[in-house]
Amino acid sequence: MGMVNANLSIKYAKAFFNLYGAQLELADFWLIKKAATILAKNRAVLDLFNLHSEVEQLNLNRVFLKYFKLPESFSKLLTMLQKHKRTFLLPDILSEISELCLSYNRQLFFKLTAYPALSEVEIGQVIDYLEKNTNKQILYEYYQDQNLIAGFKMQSRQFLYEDTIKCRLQKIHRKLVRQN
Amino acid sequence: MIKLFFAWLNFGIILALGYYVYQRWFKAQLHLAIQTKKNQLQGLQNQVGSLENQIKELSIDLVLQQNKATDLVTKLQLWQTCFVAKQAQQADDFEKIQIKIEYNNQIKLQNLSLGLAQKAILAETLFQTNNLLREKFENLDQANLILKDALTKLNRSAGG
Repeated sequence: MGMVNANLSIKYAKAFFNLYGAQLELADFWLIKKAATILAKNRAVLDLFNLHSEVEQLNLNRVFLKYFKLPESFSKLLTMLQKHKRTFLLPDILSEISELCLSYNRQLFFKLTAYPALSEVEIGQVIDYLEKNTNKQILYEYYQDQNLIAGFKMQSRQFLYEDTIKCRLQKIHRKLVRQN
Repeated sequence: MIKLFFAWLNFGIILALGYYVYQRWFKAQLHLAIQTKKNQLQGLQNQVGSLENQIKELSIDLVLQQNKATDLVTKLQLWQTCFVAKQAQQADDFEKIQIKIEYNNQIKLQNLSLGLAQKAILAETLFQTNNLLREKFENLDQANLILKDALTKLNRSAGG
């Protein structure tokens, strides 16, 4: 995504959040995040929004909102993006809105990856550690990933904590590459 | 007879007087013309003198200019010699630099290929080590040990 489009997405997200941000709840955050992830992976779907008839556009928007279970307030955002032919910005705008939700509610989102699986208690320990060190409420998604070989990784937009065999190997590899 | 004699005498006197007056007038005119011509000649002589002076000055100038031209030609020849020598030197230097650049490029290429080969070896080693470790840590006991170790480190840093 170019810098211009990134800035444009941020502006749209901020404008939307200023109007409807207070109405968004935690459940909405997860739905927005899910929609952003799915759309980012399937950008071709966004071409469907480029319809000429306003009625078709409205129907499609309803289907879209129903499928992703997004609040009705997103309908106006969709219509505006369709009007200006900028529906391709939607995944980035949704992602920015989810970030604004987090910032507004003093929360941080982390993707927690581990191998082998972490127990509930261990996940609790990790989340406690993050909450103590960031002074924010932590929202997370947990995945098991054998590519890490062994260990765990926590990653947000700003922070990364990784203690895995894969990471150690990469560090050694980078060191060797630099030495040569 | 006497009258005729006097008449002829008078006529002769008048004729002599006329001739005398004419001669005086003619001499005066001739003198005037000679004087005018003399003046003209003097003027022309003056002009010739002035032109001679100018010619002299011009010839001096010409000599000076000729000297200058000779100097310039000498300088030009000298400069040409220097320029040719410098050009030859520059060509020599350029050739030397080109040889050096080619040599450096060869070394760089060698280093690059060596570096690339080393990087490829390192990447291959990383890939193989990765696979070996993955196989090794399929045994969950060992993988759990590493995970616990990582968690212990995290807890320790949280406590610190």
